[in-house]
Amino acid sequence: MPTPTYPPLATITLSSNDSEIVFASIPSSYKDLVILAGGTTSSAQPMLMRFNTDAGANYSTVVMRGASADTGSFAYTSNHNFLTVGNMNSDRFDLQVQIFDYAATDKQKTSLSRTGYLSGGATEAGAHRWASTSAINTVRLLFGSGSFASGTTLSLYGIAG
Amino acid sequence: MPIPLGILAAAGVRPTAGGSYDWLETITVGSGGATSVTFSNLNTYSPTYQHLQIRVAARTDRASYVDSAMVQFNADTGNNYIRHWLVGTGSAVESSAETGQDKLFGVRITAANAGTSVFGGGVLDILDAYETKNKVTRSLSGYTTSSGSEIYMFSGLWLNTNALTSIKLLPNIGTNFVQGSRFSLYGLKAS
Repeated sequence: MPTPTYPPLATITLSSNDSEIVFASIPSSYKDLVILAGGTTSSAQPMLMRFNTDAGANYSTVVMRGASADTGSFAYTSNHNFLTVGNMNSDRFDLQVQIFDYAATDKQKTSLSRTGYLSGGATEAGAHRWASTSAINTVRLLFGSGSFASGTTLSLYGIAG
Repeated sequence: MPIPLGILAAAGVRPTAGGSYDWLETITVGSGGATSVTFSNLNTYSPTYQHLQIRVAARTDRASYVDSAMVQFNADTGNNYIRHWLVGTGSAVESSAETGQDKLFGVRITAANAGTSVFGGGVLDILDAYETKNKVTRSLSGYTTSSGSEIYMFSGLWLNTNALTSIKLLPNIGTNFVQGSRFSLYGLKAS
């Protein structure tokens, strides 16, 4: 039986700069999560992601990047305390994050990201893993330095499955 | 700034779906694994949906850390598929293309040596699934493991203008998808 899905669970439009956005109390009733964001960053810094309260070295990332003059790829495995979902450049950006089986307790958490930013002109795609089988109830998007600028909008969606 | 979802619920804002993106079916592999999974009787969805999407979290029993979930349409095992890919390996970006293939690349996933509970994930789009057009696919998928990590973009073409009636996914090299592998089918409506 077809079931309408992809409802918005939370949306925020920033009225001031903020270095960290937290989607909290995420219900476990969906299969996947999707985050869509668009806005501006205050400085050229990587945009990071963490889950729940885990700030330990439990995150790994691989990114593929195409810029105006070159392409490249980098990766790190389980030795970082964050995922890198995009390398921003103090200008307009867009972001999509897909988190699979976020509430499953038999899987480490795999996610995919797509980002693009205007200044310098780059597009990136990434695959990420949080080395935990805990259900995700909190998603944190943050900068180690710098912030999301006022006017940036971030939305969380749930996908049934 | 935390966004507690409970406040949205307390304010009477109930999460609602717009009705243009519907979850149709899910196949979850049980104990013993599965040599393939198939979404059948897709013609029943044709009056309603324009495009189809498959969301995957899966791994195979290949004696390696990586594998792929391959795709065949309408039980066509002939050399009627063309496939392309762009991949970031963590140290390089590579691309390639192949014609005259008997299946498409669907999504890149993990395999038996990837580490406990490590599954690859991906989203596969099949555009104009019921139109009289050769069928086009695209996907984003990837994984990270201690042995290697990849982010893949696949695209594909099935040289057949028939409406889709079935989609079969099968391991590229492994024998089975392992228990817990999940394949979910979604329909996207036209305006």
